Amino acid sequence: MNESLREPGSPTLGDFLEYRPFHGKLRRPSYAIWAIGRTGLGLLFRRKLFWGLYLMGLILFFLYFFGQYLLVWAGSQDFGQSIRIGPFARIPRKELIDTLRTMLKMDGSPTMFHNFFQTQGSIVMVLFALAGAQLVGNDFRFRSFPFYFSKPIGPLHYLLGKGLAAAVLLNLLTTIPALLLFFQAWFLGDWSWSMEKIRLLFSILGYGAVLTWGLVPLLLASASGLTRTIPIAMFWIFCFLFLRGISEGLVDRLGYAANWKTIDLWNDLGMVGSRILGIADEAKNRNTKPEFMVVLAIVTVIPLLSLAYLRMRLSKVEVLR
Amino acid sequence: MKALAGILELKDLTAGYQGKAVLGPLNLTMNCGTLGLLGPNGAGKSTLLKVLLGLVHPMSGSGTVAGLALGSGHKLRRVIGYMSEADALIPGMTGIDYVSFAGELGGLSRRDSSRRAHELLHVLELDEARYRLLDEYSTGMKQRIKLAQALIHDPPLLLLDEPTSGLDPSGRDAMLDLLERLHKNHGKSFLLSTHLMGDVERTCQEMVFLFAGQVLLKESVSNLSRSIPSEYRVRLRRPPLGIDLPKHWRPDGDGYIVRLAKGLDTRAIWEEVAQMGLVVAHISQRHEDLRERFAQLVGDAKEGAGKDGFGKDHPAKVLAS
Repeated sequence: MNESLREPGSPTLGDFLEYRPFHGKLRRPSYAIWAIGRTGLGLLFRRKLFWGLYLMGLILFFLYFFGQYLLVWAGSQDFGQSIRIGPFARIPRKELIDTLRTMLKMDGSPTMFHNFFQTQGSIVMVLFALAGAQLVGNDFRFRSFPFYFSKPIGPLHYLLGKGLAAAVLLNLLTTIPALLLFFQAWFLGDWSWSMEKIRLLFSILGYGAVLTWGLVPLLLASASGLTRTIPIAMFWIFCFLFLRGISEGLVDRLGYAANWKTIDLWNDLGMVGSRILGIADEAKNRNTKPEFMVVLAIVTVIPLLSLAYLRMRLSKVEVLR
Repeated sequence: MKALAGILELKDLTAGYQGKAVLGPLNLTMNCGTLGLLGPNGAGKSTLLKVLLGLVHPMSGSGTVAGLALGSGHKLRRVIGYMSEADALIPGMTGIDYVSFAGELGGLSRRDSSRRAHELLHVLELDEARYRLLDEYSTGMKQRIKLAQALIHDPPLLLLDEPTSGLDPSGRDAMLDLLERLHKNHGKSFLLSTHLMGDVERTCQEMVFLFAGQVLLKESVSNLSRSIPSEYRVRLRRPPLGIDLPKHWRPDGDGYIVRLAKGLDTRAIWEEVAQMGLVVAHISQRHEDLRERFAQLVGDAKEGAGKDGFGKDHPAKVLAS
């Protein structure tokens, strides 16, 4: 409003327009969950940085996508001994197929999906470390709660909304592209359904659910406590890099019990995920693998603790000052 | 449109935290449509607002807000629009997104919410700033956008916490005009919590003075203004050396303030001065405003609380009765 440009006493726009009552029907508070989630994602995607990270995730997805395609294509063509790639390069056919199938495992197998989740997960980590402040931290830092809690919603709706935003973000990079890869493998294959394929489909969904359960509450809790981007990023580095280094040092070098490996949450999530995908234990040395039940307990307890901490943080929010 | 009758009724209401009552027992009825809530810090104003918003459950007693029982949770906040004292803005959001989001949290569909947000921002003369980030808003704009988010779901009752805080005189005038207009033209009832007596004097029909969780005074603003006894500023030709002045004479700068009992006029002052053997140099009527009354009430109440634990014989209590 340009108050300084208006002549004193002259009518304003507000004098001509009037407040109008609302005669529609108000919806249930549960609808607010989607609004909170959508708005949270909107706030994130206003930043170019997130698009950049998402693009990196897409590049990795296309690596798998075209890898699968290349494997099927190379296997189905009769090129003789070598395949021409581009205008100059020629690759021995057997070598290309071996690389794609054996080394990169781009064959639509459970191992491929495990690798895909692990690779995409690293991008999700970076994304989450940077998104926490935007998604939740700022609400604590800038005291936005009177805005939320004076509306007909409760802390649960708020948490579910924010959790939804984080879950969508995570699954946009992991589960959804993994499903696309699954259907691509199905289209490139024999188009038939078997129990094995149905099991793999549900395993992919299960892996996504485990990552969502393991990471989303931790993100919300860390963001509610630390509120700013740099401390949140440092916390994530501590959890997923520093603790990994410590666990490896303790178990692999100093010979501590294998269960010390469970302090590496990312490894725990990966172990539960691979169990869901039905991948055999590929550890070179079984003595360095923690017990699965301990891993499962950690993956269950940490999100529960995170949720308890979140509840405590939200209960301490001073809505009216 | 007429304001709702009996929009707020509290009966023997007690509320507090961790088993300790900080408010009540409180009996309060709001029929008028506009009620000023006054009181020093710690008087229980914020707790009362929390109770009305359903964020703090009463320890005992009962009450209704727009016909809904206290403790109705989400339903209660559908009939209330709350404008907080704190900014409670969401950084990174534009004005229109913020108000529209508030509408969705309030139960409106996305479409209705967006339409009403545009209308409201027109009415509140923020239409030109609606696509600007909230971080760039001036204090006056922030206050208006906070009012817009409180009005978006068209609640019959507004709880306004210091709505003119931080505004310059013209901004304050504009805000108070707007509130008057909302009440007179659109039948909005509001409860205005403030330290500024002028705001209450101008916009409210009734005022409640809270102290130590109790209603010290509930009176119509016009009656209260009329009940203020007449006072005169008197300057004497020479200082009254060695003369004991009556108790209703109190020093004020180079003169005295003389408070007269009901029914007396300036002749009483002339007679008193003559009896003391002095001469009046100047006499003029002094208009005590509500602000001074407020200060006096606070002073009396604090004094009473210190002396006799704020017993029933305290002048402030007598005044309230």
